Amino acid sequence: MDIRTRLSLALVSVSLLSMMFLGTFAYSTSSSLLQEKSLRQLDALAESKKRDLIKVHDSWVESLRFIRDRTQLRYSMQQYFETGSPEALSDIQSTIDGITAAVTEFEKVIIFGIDDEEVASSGQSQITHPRMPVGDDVTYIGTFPREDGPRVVLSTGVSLDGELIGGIEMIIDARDITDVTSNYTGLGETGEAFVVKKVGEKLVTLNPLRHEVEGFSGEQMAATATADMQVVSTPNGSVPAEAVKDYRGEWVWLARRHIKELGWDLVVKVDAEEEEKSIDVLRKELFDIALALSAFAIVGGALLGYYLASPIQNLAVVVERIQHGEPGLRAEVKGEDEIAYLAESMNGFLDHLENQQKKGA
Amino acid sequence: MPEPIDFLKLFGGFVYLLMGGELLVRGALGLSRESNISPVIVGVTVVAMGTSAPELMVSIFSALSGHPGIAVGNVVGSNIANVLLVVGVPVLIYPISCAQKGLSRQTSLMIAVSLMFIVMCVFEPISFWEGVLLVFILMSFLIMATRGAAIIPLEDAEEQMDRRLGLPTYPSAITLFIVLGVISLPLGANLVVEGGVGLATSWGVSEAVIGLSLIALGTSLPELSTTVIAALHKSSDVAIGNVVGSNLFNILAILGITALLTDIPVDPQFLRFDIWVMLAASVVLWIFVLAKGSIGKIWGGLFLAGYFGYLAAIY
Repeated sequence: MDIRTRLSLALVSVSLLSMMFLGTFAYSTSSSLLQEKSLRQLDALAESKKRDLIKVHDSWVESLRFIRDRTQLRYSMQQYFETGSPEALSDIQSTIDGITAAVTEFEKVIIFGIDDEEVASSGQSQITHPRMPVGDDVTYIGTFPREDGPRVVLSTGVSLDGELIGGIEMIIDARDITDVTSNYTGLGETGEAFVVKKVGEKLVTLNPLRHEVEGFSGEQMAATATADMQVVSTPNGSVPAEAVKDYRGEWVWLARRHIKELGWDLVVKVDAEEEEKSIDVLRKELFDIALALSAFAIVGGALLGYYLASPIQNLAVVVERIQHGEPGLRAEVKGEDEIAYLAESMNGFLDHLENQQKKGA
Repeated sequence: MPEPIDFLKLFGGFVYLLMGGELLVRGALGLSRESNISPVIVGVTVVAMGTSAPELMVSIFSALSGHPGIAVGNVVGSNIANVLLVVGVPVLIYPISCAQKGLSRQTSLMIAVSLMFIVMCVFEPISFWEGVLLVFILMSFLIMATRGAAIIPLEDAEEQMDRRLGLPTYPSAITLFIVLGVISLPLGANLVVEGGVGLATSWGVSEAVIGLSLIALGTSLPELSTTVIAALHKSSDVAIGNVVGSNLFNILAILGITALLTDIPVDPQFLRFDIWVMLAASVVLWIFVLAKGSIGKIWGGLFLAGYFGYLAAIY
């Protein structure tokens, strides 16, 4: 094999080996970095969805406060509780009828006195629960899962001139949370978000799940629940460091947020397999780019090898041509290195031979 | 996907393809030299097939990965570039004579094979049995070549002399050359296909257009550099034989072998325009060969104008 090829191969091999070591290191570390980044994104998504849910809750609270602070309603309530006036009761009824007619998510509005006795109500609901003592501000009574979606009950005391005169209870159709949980942006083809609440010994999901599993209706016994639902009982919103199996039996990465205003837990999860696939795509892209970049090392190494070995090649070409009948040809002496010395010596030797031949002739 | 990365992939892919092809050919030549195999057999099999390995690998990769437009585009675009560019550029330096012995028969075969390819495109996809037919014709052609009845796309005399010393001699070096060549070729082909598909997506053009232009141009660059160097040494007559041989190989070997592996659907766009440009360029070359004429600067300029006009038309 000629010097040019050997030198080029050596330079290319050294460059490629260096790049390969660098690439192997980058490739192996990229996996954990990308996974970490992916989990951070999941966590950020969970935080964002938590804020959206809190906003939904805040809008309910604000609505109840707005109703409570309506002056006409408070005066009608005071008048009714003091005098038992049918006109005042009629005013109360017409006010709350207007409210339930205007806002469809308010399933039922109930007005009661300080003795907790119901005096008027508007709307229909099958939710029953023991009346809680009214407080000064809006109080969260509870969440009641139903087949057609969860209901949330809030109540508030009503005061006039600093004196508590009664209360308002509002049963809210909480299917609004589905708008938040059914938005799968950033969750890929298989990821999902759901809200879990512990009801008695059961863990109940409050929104429809993305995947249908035969025999699973969104409820599990807390003690034996799958890891994705069981995380609600872990302290401080912590989640497992590794992938866990979800209600479908698939390995998932998850993030969790506790919404203390409602006693709910939000679980956001993505399938580990899908996530690893996207990581593999990124890693393949990195590999391709590294491979493409290494082409510069190949071109550079080959050119450098050819350039460095070209004086030797030129010398060989001169010898070849002299052998094939060009005796007057001489090698170019360039520089002060060994090759120049060889060329000069060869030229001197050829001159000597030529002179000897002339003398002989 | 940003364009610079696609260009980078395309560049890297071509470098790996060239390197892989070169290593494979050198390794196989070294092996045949050490095994005392006839130079004619080596020329027909190793050199001819080895130098087409990059195009073959790109076509197989693109067809198997669901981008048949690139496979067909590469063949059609290479055949156009071979005539209009690879002949067009060197004749600007030194005229080419088309009076080589045996060239007219081979160019006629190229026209016949091109017409057959057009028929296959009309009744697309190019299927397994059509692939068998193409490979059968290729084998017949190679057998003819070993008997001296056909010209094959060999290297010119200077290249052969250069390689005399550049071949590996030790079994370990021969193995290394062949193994590295076999590894580099699919790596390069994968990069070229990915870069090509990425560019097609970024520019909003079909994959066929990228195959016809950038990829075909990239895989024709080695032939172009060989013919330009030959022209500089005033020995560019070998260019016509190489172009005709390369065009035959593109259809018979590359499409034939690819069709053996998977059906190749043909985009109707090829039948509307590109295939006819390929046929027209081949016919022009055929006329020169039949007339045993010489291609000079004026024709070279026209060939180049035709090629750039064609590129402008497809974009």
